[in-house]
Amino acid sequence: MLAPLFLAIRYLRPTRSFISVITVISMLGVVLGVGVLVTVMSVFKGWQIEFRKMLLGFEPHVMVMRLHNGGEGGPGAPQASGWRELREKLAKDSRFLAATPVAEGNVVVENQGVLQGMPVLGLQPAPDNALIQKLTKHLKEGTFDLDDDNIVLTDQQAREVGAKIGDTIVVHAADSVRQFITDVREIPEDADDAKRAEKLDNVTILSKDLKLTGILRADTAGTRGYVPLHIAQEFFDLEGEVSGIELELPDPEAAEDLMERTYIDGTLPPQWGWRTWNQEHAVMLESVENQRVMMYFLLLFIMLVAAICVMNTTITVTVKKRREIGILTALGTRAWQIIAIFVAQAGFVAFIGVIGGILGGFAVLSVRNAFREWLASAFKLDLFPKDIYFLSEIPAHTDFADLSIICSTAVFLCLLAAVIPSFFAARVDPAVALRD
Amino acid sequence: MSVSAVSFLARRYLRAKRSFVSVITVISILGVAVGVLMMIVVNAVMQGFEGEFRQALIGYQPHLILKPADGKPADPATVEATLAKLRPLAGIHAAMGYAGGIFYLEREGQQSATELFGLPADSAAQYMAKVEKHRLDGTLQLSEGGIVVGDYTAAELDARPGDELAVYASANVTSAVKRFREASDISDDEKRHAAYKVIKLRPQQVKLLGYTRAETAGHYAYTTLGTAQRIFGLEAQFTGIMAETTDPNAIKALKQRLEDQQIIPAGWKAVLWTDVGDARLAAMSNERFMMFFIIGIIGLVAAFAVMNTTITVTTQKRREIGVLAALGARQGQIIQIFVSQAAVVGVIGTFTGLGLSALVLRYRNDIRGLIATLSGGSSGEADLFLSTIPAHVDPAFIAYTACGSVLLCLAAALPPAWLASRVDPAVALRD
Repeated sequence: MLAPLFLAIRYLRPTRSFISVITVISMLGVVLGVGVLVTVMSVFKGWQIEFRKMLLGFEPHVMVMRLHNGGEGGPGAPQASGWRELREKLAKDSRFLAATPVAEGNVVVENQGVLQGMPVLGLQPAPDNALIQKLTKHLKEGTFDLDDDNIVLTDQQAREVGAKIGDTIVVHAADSVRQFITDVREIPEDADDAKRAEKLDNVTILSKDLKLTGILRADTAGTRGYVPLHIAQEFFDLEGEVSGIELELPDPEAAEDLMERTYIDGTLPPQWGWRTWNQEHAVMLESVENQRVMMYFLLLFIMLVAAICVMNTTITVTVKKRREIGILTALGTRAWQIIAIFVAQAGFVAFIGVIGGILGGFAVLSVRNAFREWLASAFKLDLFPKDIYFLSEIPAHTDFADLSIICSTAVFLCLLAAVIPSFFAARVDPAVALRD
Repeated sequence: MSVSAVSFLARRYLRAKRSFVSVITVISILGVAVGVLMMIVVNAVMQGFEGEFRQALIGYQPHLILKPADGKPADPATVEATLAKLRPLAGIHAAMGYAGGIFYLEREGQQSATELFGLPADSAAQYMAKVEKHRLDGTLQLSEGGIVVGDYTAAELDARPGDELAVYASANVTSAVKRFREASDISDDEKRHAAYKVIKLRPQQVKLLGYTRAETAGHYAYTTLGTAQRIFGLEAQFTGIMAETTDPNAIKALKQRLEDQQIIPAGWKAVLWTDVGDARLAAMSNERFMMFFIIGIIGLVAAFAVMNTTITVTTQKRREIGVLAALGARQGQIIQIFVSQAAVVGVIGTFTGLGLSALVLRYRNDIRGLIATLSGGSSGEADLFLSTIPAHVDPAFIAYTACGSVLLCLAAALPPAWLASRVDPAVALRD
C-alpha cells in the first residue's frame, strides 16, 4: 500500500533534481483557482451577511397579524381581536425578546404642491420598545421621540418634503385624502353655494400637524417613517385595534421555524398569521443568493481549467514512466495500484494547490480595502459604489461550509483529472511497454 | 533552415506517434476554448442586461428636459428663444416646449395618479413613435382632449380606449385639501361656507385614446399641449422643454455643451434620462469589469496548460534541438518552432471557444430552461422584466478577446522555448 505513495512522491521529481516544473505550474493553476474562489465567495458571503444585518437592523423580525376572515364587517374592517391579551402572552414567552403592537399604513405629505404618499409604522412610545431601541441606532439627527404628536422620517423622506428637525409637517391619512376627493367630486362644481356648503360640512379629512423630531439614515433604516401608535390607529381607521404585533427574536435567522412551532403549540391562535422579515424581503434576498450561485458556477470553470492542467501533467508523467509501469506490471503490481500512484501524485498537487490557494485568498482578502483605494486613486474605478452597496468597506466573511465546498471540489476535480490518464497507463501490456 | 522548415517541425511535433504529445495538445486547446467561451458568453450576457436596461430607459424616458428649477411655469418667450438656440445644435434630434406634471385621473369612483406630458402637435407624432412599440391597445395618435396612459393606470381606472376620464392637476387637489382644512377650522358657519367656495378640483373631461405597457414604457401619460395646459391651468405657458438626442449615450457631454454655451436659461435645470438609473448603470459596468477580471484568470490558467505542453514538448525534443543546433539552426528559429506550435494551440482553441460561445449564446434560453428544470426550481430571473436572457455581442470585444487569448498562449510558450533554445548541442546529444 505504501509503494504507490512512495512512487508518487518520487515521480514528482523525474530528473531526481527538484520537483518538476510542470507539476509546479499545475499547482499554480490550482492555487489560482482556489484563491479566486475563496476571495470572491468570501466577499459575496460578507455582502450577503451585511445585507441581512442591515435588514434586521430596522425590519421587525416577525409581524403577527390578525387574519381577516372576510365575514363580519367585510375584509379590512377592524375586528375585536384581543390583541392586548395576545401581546401579554407573547411578551411573557421566553422565546421572544419583545412583543409590541404596531399599526402600518400610508400617509400623505405635501411636497411642492404635490401630495406624496409615504409608508409609516405606528409604534408605542415606551422605553422598552425593542424596535424603537433598534431604530434609534440609525438616528442621524434629533431623537426618536414619539411621546407627543411627533413623527420620525428617514433623511430621504425629509429631503423629499423639504423638512428639517423641529419643523411641523401636515400629515394626511392616505385613504382619507382619497375619500375626500371622491366626496368632493360627488358634489357638482356648478351647484349653488349653499348646497355645496351643506355637503362639504359632512366631508372630513384626517390630518395632523406632526413635529419632526428625528431623522433616520435611509441607507440603513429602510424607507418607512414612524409615528405614535395612537395617531396611526386613528389614521388607518383601526378603532383601537392594531395592524399587528411585532416580535423581536433572539435568533432572527430561525424566525420561520419558531413561528411554525408557536403556531403548532397553540401559543398563536389560529386566526393569527405571521410575516417574517425574510418573507418581507424575499425578492431581494433571493436575488443576492442567486448571484452567489451564479458566481460559484462561473468560478468553477477556473477550477475546471486548472484540472485540465493537472491532467496534462499526469499524461506527461504516465507516458514518461511507461517503461517503469511495464516493469511494475510485470512484477505483479495490480492495475489499481498503478492508478493509485498517479492519483496520489495529483492529490499531492491538489493538496499543495488548495493550501496555497487558501493562503493566497486570505492574503488578498486582508488587503482588499487597501487594494480598492489603490484602484480608486490609480484608475478612478470604484468597485463597490457606496450608493449601491451601502457599505464603506468591502465586506468579507469566510464560511467554513464554502471553504470545504471549494476545497473538496478542487481536490475532486484534480483526482478525476488524474484517474483518466492513469487508467489508460495501467492497462499497458508489460511486454509491449518493455519492448519499446 | 527556412521558415517553412520551422513550420514543418512545429506541425510535426503536434502530431501523433509520440502519441501523448497530441493528447496534451488537444487538452490545452480545450483549456483555451473554455477560457474564450466563458469570456465571451459572460460579457455578452452582462452587456446585454446593461444594454436592455439602457434601452428601456432611453425607450420611454425623455432624453433631456429643461425646466425652471423652482417648478414655476416657463413663459413662451423664453421657451421660444431657448428652442431657437437648441434646435440647430449638433446632437439634438428634436426639441419642443411641453406642459406637464403630476395629475389625478378618475373614472366612476376609481382613482389614479401619474405624470403627464402635453406635447405640441407638430412634434407629438414623432415623439409618440418612440412609445409606439409599447402600445397595447387603442391608438397613440394624440388628439385634442385625448389622453394616452400606461396599462397600470388604465387597470386602476378600469378604463378602456374610448372611455371618458375626469382629470385634474395634483396642485388642485393639494390646494383643495389645504383650503378645506383651513375652512373646516372656522367655527362661524357663514364664514366657513364662504371659504368653501374656493374648494374646487376643476376636473377636465378627457377621452382615453389608448394605453402602453407601463413595464417597458414607464407610467407616463401623454396628451396634446393644449389639453395639458388646460389641465394645469397654464394658459399659453409651458412647463419646460423636452429634447430628444441623436446619441442618448452621450447625454452628459451634451449637457456640458449646453452649459458651456449658456443655452440653459438662468434659473433652469436640466434633467437627463440617465438620472433615473445612473447609479444602477454605473454599478452594472463595474460588475462587468469585475467579471472581466475574474474570467481573465481562467485565461491565465489556460495559458498554464499551454506552458506545460510546451515544457513537455521541449523536454521530449531535447535531442532533436541539440541536433538542430549542431546543424546551425539559430536560437530564434528554435524558439519559433515552439512558439508557433503554441500559436496553433491558441488559434484553434480561440476559434473553438468562439464557435462554442456562438452556440451557447444562440441557445442560451433553452440552456437556462434546462438548468431550471434540472435544479427543480425557477432560475430566479423570471420575475424580472426580462423574461429571456439578453445578450449583446460586441465585435470589438470579441476581437480583443481572440487576440488576447492567442497572445497569452504565445507568451506562455516563450519562456520554455527560450530555455530549450539555449541548450548546448554537445550536452544535449551526449545525454
